[in-house]
Order: sequence, then structure tokens, then C-alpha cells
Amino acid sequence: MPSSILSVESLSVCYGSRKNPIKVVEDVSFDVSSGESLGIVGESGSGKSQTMLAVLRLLGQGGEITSGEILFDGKDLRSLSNREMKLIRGNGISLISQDALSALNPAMKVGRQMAEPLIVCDGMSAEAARRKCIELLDLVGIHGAASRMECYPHELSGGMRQRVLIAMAISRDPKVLIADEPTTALDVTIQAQILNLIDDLRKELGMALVLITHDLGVVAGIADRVSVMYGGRIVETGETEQIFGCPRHPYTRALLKSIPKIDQSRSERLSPIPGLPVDPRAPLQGCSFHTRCEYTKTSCTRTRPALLSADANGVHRFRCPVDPFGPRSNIAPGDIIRSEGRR
Amino acid sequence: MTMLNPVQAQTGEKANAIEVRDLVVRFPVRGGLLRREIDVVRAVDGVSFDVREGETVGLVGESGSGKTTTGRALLGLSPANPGSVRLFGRSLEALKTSGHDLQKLGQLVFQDPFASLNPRLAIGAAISEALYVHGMKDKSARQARMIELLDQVGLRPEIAARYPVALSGGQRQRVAIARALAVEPRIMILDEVVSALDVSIQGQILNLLMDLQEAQNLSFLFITHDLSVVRYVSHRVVVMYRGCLMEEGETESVFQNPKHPYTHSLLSAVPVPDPVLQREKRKKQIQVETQNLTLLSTGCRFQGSCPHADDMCRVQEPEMREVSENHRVACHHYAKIPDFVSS
Amino acid sequence: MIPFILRRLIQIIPVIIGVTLATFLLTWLIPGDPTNVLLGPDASEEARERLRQSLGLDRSMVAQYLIYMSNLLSGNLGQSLSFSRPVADVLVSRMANTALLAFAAIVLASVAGVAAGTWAALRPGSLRDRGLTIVVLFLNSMPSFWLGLVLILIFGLHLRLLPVSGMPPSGAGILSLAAHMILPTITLAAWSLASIARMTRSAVLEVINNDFIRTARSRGLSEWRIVLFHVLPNAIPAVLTVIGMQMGFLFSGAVLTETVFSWPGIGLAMFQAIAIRDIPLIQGGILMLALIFVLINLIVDVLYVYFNPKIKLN
Repeated sequence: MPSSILSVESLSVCYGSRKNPIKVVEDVSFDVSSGESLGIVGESGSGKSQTMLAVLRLLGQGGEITSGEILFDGKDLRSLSNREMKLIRGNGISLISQDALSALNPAMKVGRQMAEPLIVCDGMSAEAARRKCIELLDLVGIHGAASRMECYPHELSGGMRQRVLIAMAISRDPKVLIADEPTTALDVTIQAQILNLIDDLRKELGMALVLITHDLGVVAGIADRVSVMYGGRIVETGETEQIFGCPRHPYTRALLKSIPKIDQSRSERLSPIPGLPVDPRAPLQGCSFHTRCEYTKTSCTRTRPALLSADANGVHRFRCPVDPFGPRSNIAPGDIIRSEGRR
Repeated sequence: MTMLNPVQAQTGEKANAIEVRDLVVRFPVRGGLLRREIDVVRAVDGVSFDVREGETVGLVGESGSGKTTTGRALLGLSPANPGSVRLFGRSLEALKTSGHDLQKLGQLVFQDPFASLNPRLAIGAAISEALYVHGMKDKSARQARMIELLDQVGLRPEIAARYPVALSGGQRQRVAIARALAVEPRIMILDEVVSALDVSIQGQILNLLMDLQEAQNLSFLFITHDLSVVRYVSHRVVVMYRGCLMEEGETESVFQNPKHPYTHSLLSAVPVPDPVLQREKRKKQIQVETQNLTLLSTGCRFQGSCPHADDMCRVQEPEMREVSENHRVACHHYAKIPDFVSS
Repeated sequence: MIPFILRRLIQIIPVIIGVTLATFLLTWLIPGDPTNVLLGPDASEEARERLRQSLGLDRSMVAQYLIYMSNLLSGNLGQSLSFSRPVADVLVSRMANTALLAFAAIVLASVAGVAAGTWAALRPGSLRDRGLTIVVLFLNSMPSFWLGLVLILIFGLHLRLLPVSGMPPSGAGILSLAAHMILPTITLAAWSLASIARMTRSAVLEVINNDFIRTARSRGLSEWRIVLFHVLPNAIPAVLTVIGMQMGFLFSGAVLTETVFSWPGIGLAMFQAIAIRDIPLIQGGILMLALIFVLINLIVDVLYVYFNPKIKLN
């Protein structure tokens, strides 16, 4: 197994005051190797975006990493000074945001925005930076790159803006590319093109890709591995085929059942997940999914479930001691906290 | 409202709730020193379709396709050509002059209910206000009906005292639906009503809408960019591209046997939550370029992105022609289009 | 850009006509008889009538307005009653002094206001942020003449550091001029400074929470660079509007400040004119201040478009 370029261990993030902290990320661990792609799936408020902002140390006002370790290329990011952290951003780890229109400076021409870090941080000449930007725009499939550089972001179409944002994110040859809902704001046909582009670039440039999304269809095509987040925790993680083929956590399974598929007609009724997503301001005791789960037992409301292994090498893991979907034989008795019978 | 269509009610055949014939919506483009009208954008250009009573028609299109403008035109909220829209057999103009309130006949529900709910008005008061406008002057009757409406959309009566900020996105959308139902409409124009919601909540709202339709014989025009959702909720589908109809027909027929290359490219772009299928799909995707909307060339509007375009497509705009009894398409070469294998 | 400016210029015309109408009507609205002031209460009715005729006060209102407008277009603002010179001469000779003061004040208010507002907004809720809020409140609620008097008391009378009144003679050199300007400039700038700081703070706060600031950070740019090149250019349009309005106020606010410091500008002249009901001078002064106000607004609008490329399209 190749050693991972980015590994996060038991990360927790809190917002708010010290007296009344709001935990938005709790005990999250994952790792990703060069050239590999990891999908992080979750609904709003699941903590998926906050996890990645924490990795870049770009949490918003009042956000704080309370525990955990973030190792990038052997360096512990939490112990770096602000100056050293600045050197990691952009050329170590870079970010593609969801809404390209708000993620680009509206008052600066595209070319200048793209070139700025190349000149300021990498010491390129203005001319060299310009050439590199044109190259990058070509690479992400923007025709007539030289003239596009003179445009303001609002003068470009949505798909084109997202391409510019991608070009900016890869401009300093990052080792890890974090894409936070990179296609949510786009039309389906453009969405497909952008996803293909990101995936091709990852393979071509050998970057590690972390793709954050709420759309299971999006990760299905791109990710090598998937982590499903709910209520600030990873509830299930494994290879993509494992997650989609034999999901073990009730939330993963319910999520897959709750979305309309393109080949699902009116005659088959959807079974949506009842209730509301967990509110981080009102955290639940025990398992964060227990109020919406049909397999809840009393123990679920008390003890916080630990990650259990679903396969022999520990790649597929899930956080549900009830384990209503597990083949009994696969699980050693010691792995289960609970002792009562299964449904 | 039964006086509008006594004949069909007796024969038992499903009547048309909405009839759209050759709908054109023009918006002026102003410019120059005196802000004169220098050009016209045809946001909707010759669209025809029907929505029968108790039926859901899905209106699909990408941004700039004119789908929202079309929806608004049905209730007289876009500057449409006179006589192009008929509700229950009578044109909008006739309905207006005979003193019918279009609002009572048809209600519009938007993507972002937060924007359409007054933040200073408690939920109960907002619904009660709609009832008052509808002519229910008795306060206790309004109160009872308000609770009933909340119940219909699956909300508990306690919610009446809350304000929009205190609700989740899904709850707000339920409130918006309840408020629309307050005037007892026969038609609902649902514009991207689930797009802003979490995936696990989307299913709840879709099922709610389907239940309401069944119980109250409502006619829905369901406007969305999400093809999976359309397939799930619609009896029939209308596909729009740059202000024109591309394809129209029964949902199953259009999804299983799409005849227009644009519908093909849309369907092939939809990500499916299945790793194997999705990887296969991504390899076969058609590239679609977006172009300037104001640019009106001759011929088919999809020619620039169509793999089958030839000289005829560049010269002559294709008319809608019948593929089968319940399936129409606007393409010169529909017979040549290879069969679509969705999965 | 050019059509935009032309369009704005055309829109100004009715405003200017309105202003001339308003200043003209002043003659009719101000109570009291100007001949009373000029000739004294004991003058004979005959003498008054002669003066009325020579000033045109006996004609109809419309005729008087037409005369007034035609004079205005030929640059004739009438004769100042108190200075016994053409109003235009008085205003022009004093304009430079007022402009000097107002310009110094707006530069001080803008630079210090933007800096203070930005500095506070970078740490919202911090000690310095709350400190600024208090200072803003203090400066905004203090009348300028009172601040002027306090400054005179402290720096002029107690510490004897700075001159407190008037302008030095023209040969006295730039240093002496600067010394004379310090107190009136601070007095005049205080209110505007506070308003600009408050506006900058909220504009910066709004911009800094935008995604594109996070994008800039995620690309490894330094914090000062982000503030200077990404935050401020986007916050400036909102601040510019306030600066433009403040500039208009500064010219009119000069009336009080110039009076307190005996600064020989339009404001002081207006103050004296009002005291003795020198209506032609009051009219001319108001017209001039109004024109300056309109002109500054035009400049602000143009700058606004310059800083906000999105507006250019429409």
C-alpha cells in the first residue's frame, strides 16, 4: 500500500465559545495517497466541508481544531506557524470551491487573479506567469485563453468559471486537491464535463483528490474510496464498490434508498429518511443517527458507537454496533459492543 | 371552480388543466445613451404542451432554457403573447376579464421558500393571511383551517408559532406548500422545489406532493433541472432547450427511448449512484458547448452541440413531429438516432 | 463609460434648474425687507423704492426669475450688498480657501477612516473593534463647533502649540499655512472620519466573509495582500458613496468651522451674509455649494462604476 500524502487522525472541530462549544466535526480520520481519489459524502451540516477547511486551517470566525492530527507529506500541519502554513496552501494542498461565481474576486480580471500567487509566491515574472495561465486555461478546456484572461468573472458562463477555478487550484502543482461540491451549481451536461476534467487532471498530474459532495452519483464515478459523514462523524468508509454494493451502516443504506434514480419510475415509491438532519447545536447522545434510524436500540441512544471493521483488512469500516445488514459470520464477537440479539 | 369545465367532469375523460399553444415570451434588451430597446431576447419561443387534470408534467431544461419563464407565463407573470395560455379551457385574458383570480386557480412555489416567506411573520400568521386574502374572514375558521393545512403537509400545529428562521429548509418548503394550498388551487407550478434541499429530505417533499396530488386531484407543472426527480414524479415530460421544445411525451417513453440528441446528452450526463454503471457512462458522454443566448442563428438550436447535425439542421428549424402516440420530438434525424441504453 | 457619463450629465440638468429655482425663491421666503438692511430703518420710502427698482425687486416673480437666470448664465450673480463687490468675485476669491480646507479634511477623513475601519473589521468583536465603535459614536455625536472650541482651548490657549485663527498672509510660507490648517482640518474631518470608519468596517466585514477571500487564502497569499488587493477593492464602492456624501457635507459644514476659526472661506462669508441678510451672496453661495455637491456625486458615481465592473454591462 502506498504511503498516504495526507492523513487525518481523530480530528475534532468546534465553533462558538469555550463555555458553549458546538462540535461540528468529531473524531474524523481518513487518509489519501498520491493519485488516489477519496469521496466524502454527506448532507448539509454533516461536517464534510468543515473537515477540509480544518485541514487547510481556514476555519471561519470562531472555528477551532480541538483535537487530532493532520499529517501532510510528513509534516504536522497543526504545529506549523501561520507563515509555514501559508507555504502549504496552494502548492501543497489546494481547494476548489462550490460556487465559482462567489469564489472568484468580482473586481479582478481572471488573468490577474490566476497569475497573482504565481508572481507573488513563486517569484515568476509577469510574462512567465501569463504564459503559464494560458497553458492552464488550455488544459482545462477553455478556448481562446488569452482573451478570457481579460474578462471579469461575471462575464464568463458558469461552466467556464468553474474551469477557471480548477485552473487556479492546479496552477501551483498541488499534491492534494480538495474539491468541495465542485459541480453542484452547474447544469448536468456541464457537471459531467467538469467531473471528467477533474478526474483526468488527477490521473495526469498524479494528485491526490478529495471530493466533497452530497451527490452519491458524483462519487460513484470518480472515487476510489468513499467516506460517508453524518452529524460530524464518519459513519462508514470503504472502497466505492463496498459502500454502494453492500453498505453496512443504516444511514448509508437509507440514503441510497431515499434518492430518486434516473431509472426509477413513478410506480416505485421512494422511501425517504424520516425526520430532520441532526443539528450540531443540539447534539444527540450516543449515535447521531438514532432518531431517524429504524434499527435503533436503547444502547444506540447512550453509547457513542465505535468504528467496526467489515472486512478482513479493515478498509471497509462502519459505525453501527447494531449492524442490521451484516453477515453474522464476518464479524468476530469481540468487534461488537452490544450483546443482545440482532433484528 | 367546477363551473369552468362541466362537460369533461361528466364524461369522465381527463380534461386539460393547462393548454399552452405557441407560447412566446420576449424580453427587451436596452442599451445606448437613451436606453432604447436595441434587441429582443426570445426567452420562450413557440412552446406548446398540455397538462391534464390530476397530472404532473415535468418541465426539464438547463439554465437559460426558459423553463422558469414558461412556468410564470402560465399564471400571467411573464409577458406572453395573448391567447397562448388556457387554463381549464379559457384563456388567461378571458379569465382575467371575467373577474377570476388567477392566484386562486394556480399557485407558484419556488426553490427558495425562505425568500418568499416574510421573516417577521410567524408561520401560522403567514398561512392565515393567505386564507384571509382567499376570503375566509372568520378568525376561528381560519385558525382551524390553518392547523388542517399544516397537518396536510406533515407539520405539527406547534410550528404555527415559529418564525421562518427557526425552521429547516424542508420545513420551510412544507410551509410554502401549505400556504399555496390555502387558496385551494387547482394547479401548482413547482419551480425547483426540492433543488435546495438535502437529499434525505427531497424524497419526503416529493412523496408529500404526490400524496397531495392524489388526494386533491391537483395538476402540477414540475420545473427542474434534475432528471432523476422528473422521472420519479412526472406522468409526462417536456424537454426545453434555449426557449424551444426539444422533446415531449410520456415519461417512460422519453426516458427509455429518447429521440432527441439533446435529451440523450442530458440523460447520459446524469450521474447514477452505482460505481460500475457510472464509470461506463462517463466514457460515453457527449460534449455540449454553451453559447450566447441572444445569438439566434437559423436552423436547429441544438446544432452547435449535436453530433448528428448536417446542412439541413443549419438551415431549417425542425418542427415537432410524432414518434408515437404519446411522444413528440423536434429533430430532423430522430429516426437515425441510435437507441439509448440508459443502464 | 462615456455614454454613462453623458447620461449622468443629462440627468443633472433638472437638478440644477431645481436648485436655481430654490435659491431664487429664497428672496421671497426670507422674512424682512432687504432695503431695510441696506438703508437702515430710518430711510425714506422714496429711497427704498429707488433701491427696489435698481435691484429689480418691484417686478413680477417670473420676470425676476428670468432676469436672474439670464444673469446667471452670463456669470453675473449680482452685487453683494455687504461686500459691495460682485458676488462671483467674492465667491471665487474665497473658494480656494474653502476648497483647501475641505480637501485636506476629506483626505484626512478618508485615509484615517478607511484605515481604522479596516483595522477594526479584521478582528470583529475584539477590544480594538469595540474601541473604535465608541470613538465613532463620540465623534458622531459631538457638534463640530464645540470640538473646534475645545481644540482651540487645549492646543491654542493652554499648550500654545498651534495658531487658532485665520490664515497667514500669502508670503508666510507653507509651514505657517500648514500650522494654521491643522485644527480646522481636524474639526471639519471628525464627523466624516467617524462615518467613513463605520461604513468601511461594515463593508470590509461583508467582503471578508466571501468565498473568494477564502480562495485567495487557500492559494497561499499573505494576509496583508489579501486585505489590500482583494478585500479593499470590493469594499471601496460602498465607502465611496459615503465619502462622496461627506464631501458635500464638508463644504456646507465649513460654515461653522470657518466661523469658529475665522477661516476666510465661503463659509465665513456666508455666515456674515446671513447675519446681515445679504441675499445675493446667500443665493450665490448656496448655488455654488449645491453645484459642488452635484458634481462630487457625479464623480463618485463614475468611480463607483470604475471599481465595480459588474455595473459596466448595464
